[in-house]
Amino acid sequence: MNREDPFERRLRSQPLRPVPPNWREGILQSARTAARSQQAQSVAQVGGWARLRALLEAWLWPHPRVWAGLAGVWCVILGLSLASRESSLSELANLPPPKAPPMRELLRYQAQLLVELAGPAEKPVAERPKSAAPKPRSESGRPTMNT
Amino acid sequence: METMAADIELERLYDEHAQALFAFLLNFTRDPDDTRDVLQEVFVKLARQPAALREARDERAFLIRLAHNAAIDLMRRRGARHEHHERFGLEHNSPFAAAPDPDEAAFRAELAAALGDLPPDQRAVVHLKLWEGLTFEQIAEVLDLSPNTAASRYRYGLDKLRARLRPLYEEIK
Repeated sequence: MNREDPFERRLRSQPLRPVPPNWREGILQSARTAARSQQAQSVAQVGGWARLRALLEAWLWPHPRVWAGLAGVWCVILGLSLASRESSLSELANLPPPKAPPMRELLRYQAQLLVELAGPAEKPVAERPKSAAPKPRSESGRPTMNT
Repeated sequence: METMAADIELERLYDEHAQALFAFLLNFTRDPDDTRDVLQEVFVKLARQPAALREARDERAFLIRLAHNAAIDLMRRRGARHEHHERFGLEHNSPFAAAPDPDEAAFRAELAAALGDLPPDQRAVVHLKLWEGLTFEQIAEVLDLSPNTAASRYRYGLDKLRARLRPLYEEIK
């Protein structure tokens, strides 16, 4: 397959058209412009990060101990706050159950006062049973018969 | 300093490979405008990503692969226009140099027309085998094919060219 026949050699010998010479400068100029714009973009991206970093450094760097101390104080405050919350909850859990609320006592006292102010209630007079002649004990349990 | 070195490297690449890329692209696209666009796209990519070429084993094969892929993308985008040029612009789109001898000129014109009638995938293989001197393994790597496929496409393409050019070839011979 790698051996060429005369027809293939004939085809191979045909000279190819040269690239137009005026293309060179245009194509290379486009390529250079593209490379420059890409470099500018990457520099701009790096420049943005660098600016942010410089700003942070300028802000924090003059007094790093002060910033560190401030952060430490905030940590202590946070720790104390968490600890106090936990202790108050545990104390609450250990308290005995609450007594009767004082309002109930007050209401009972008030009711008692009202009773005292109103005085003793008049008891209805009970109807006295009609007196009847005592019957002999032997007839007391017998039913009477009316004729 | 670094920019200047990059510019010199771009110029070297152009001077060494632009002719081959131009011929391949013109034969593949059959359109000088598309050829220029793709050639420019290839060099813009090279300028933006010079590291990609440094990793390549074979500069020429890498560049042809880049050009082939870019040409396929462009031809897909301009499908209708591409067909128009294939049918009506054969002389203007010939990848061969003009010949002073009329018989030779007729042969080249017929060869250009016969190549234009090949399917683009066969045309690409025939071009790389005949005018770039690549092996089937190299063609397979460049066009992302198996070597057997590259060989069979070459055989089919060459048979078609032979059948069409036989009368002229016999006459000139």
